[in-house]
Amino acid sequence: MRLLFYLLLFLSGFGTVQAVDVPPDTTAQKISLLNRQHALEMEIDLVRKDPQQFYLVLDLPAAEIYLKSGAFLLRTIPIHNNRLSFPVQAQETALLTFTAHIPPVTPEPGNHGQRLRGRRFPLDFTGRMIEGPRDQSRLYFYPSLLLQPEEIESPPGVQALMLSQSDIKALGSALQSGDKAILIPPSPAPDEVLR
Amino acid sequence: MSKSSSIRTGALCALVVFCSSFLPASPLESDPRPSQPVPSRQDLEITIAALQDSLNRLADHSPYIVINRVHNNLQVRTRFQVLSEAVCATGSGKILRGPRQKTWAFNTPRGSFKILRKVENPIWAKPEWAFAERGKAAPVLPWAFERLDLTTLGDYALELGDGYEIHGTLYPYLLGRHITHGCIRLNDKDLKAAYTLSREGTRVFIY
Repeated sequence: MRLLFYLLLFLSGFGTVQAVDVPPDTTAQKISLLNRQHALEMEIDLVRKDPQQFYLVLDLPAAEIYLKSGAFLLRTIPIHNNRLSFPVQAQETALLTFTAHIPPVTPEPGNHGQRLRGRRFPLDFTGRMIEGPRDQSRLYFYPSLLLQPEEIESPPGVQALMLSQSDIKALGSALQSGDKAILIPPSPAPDEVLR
Repeated sequence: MSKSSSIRTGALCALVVFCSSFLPASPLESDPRPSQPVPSRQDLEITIAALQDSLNRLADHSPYIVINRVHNNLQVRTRFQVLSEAVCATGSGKILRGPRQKTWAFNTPRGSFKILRKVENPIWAKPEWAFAERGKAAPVLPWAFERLDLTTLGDYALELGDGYEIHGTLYPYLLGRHITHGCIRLNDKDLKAAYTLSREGTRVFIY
């Protein structure tokens, strides 16, 4: 009986070794390579559809944003910080749409065209409530992603990338509603893949 | 607990461990994209290189000009390096109301353009707003002598269409400001660099 126990224990040890035979980082690398491949396919598709359009590539593994038009690189922007919470299974390349730019000089129609600098009460600009200080620009994308300066707090529950104020201003000047952004998700850590 | 029962329990535990070791550790480990077979890493790298190559072929390799209206900055660059960088002046955003309810907005347009014509020693034929701005009536004839200005545009002009140009300035101390009527102004040295590095058909991106 004891012999059988040791035999089973010995065999189970073999089984465990077989299960982790593939190095854990290979799968993580494959996922990030697949994401990069999808991002390139999306970008080629975008450029072929409209070579004049400005678009962004949000490269989270490289912590950089590329402003491009017709496959020409116009500006490289470092991401200073982020507040993202992607579930591991949802880490796929995504195409986002730029919806709104809320600059500090946005006139309020009901306020005789006066400016909103410093206002903190909720205001309905684009069909939804947007709160927060009005002295810094924010760029809103759909599905939910916000680009904003790192100096200000992001609204709770909103996925956000923090950039420098000058980069936000430049992007605000470059993008128009309907412009696209390709999001390359962060590379999964090997332990995330195995979890 | 008796000796035989503890051995039985141990064997059962070992059996469970043994069987569970054949199960995949996580769905992602076994198959990150369940709908399609996952190619090998080498295959993926080859595909990515091919895609990158076809993306690069969509943009041409010659220098192009990038103008940032927010920071009044002009770059002549290729995909990999900045060849020349300069402080420029761009549109003021002012609106001028002229006679007969005419209005002009002095904005530098955003978008993608091409250099249509390169001109050395350009002569500026002043449009109507240049006279309206000084409270004067514009000459009727478009080629009237009063319209012609030999000095304002500097040594070179790069025409972008619709009257917009990259040209020189008489007021280099105003570079870096939003001050122009929509054109992009450069100092003499930077203008010469931009003129030399570009050709007719060079892409110009303004944002």
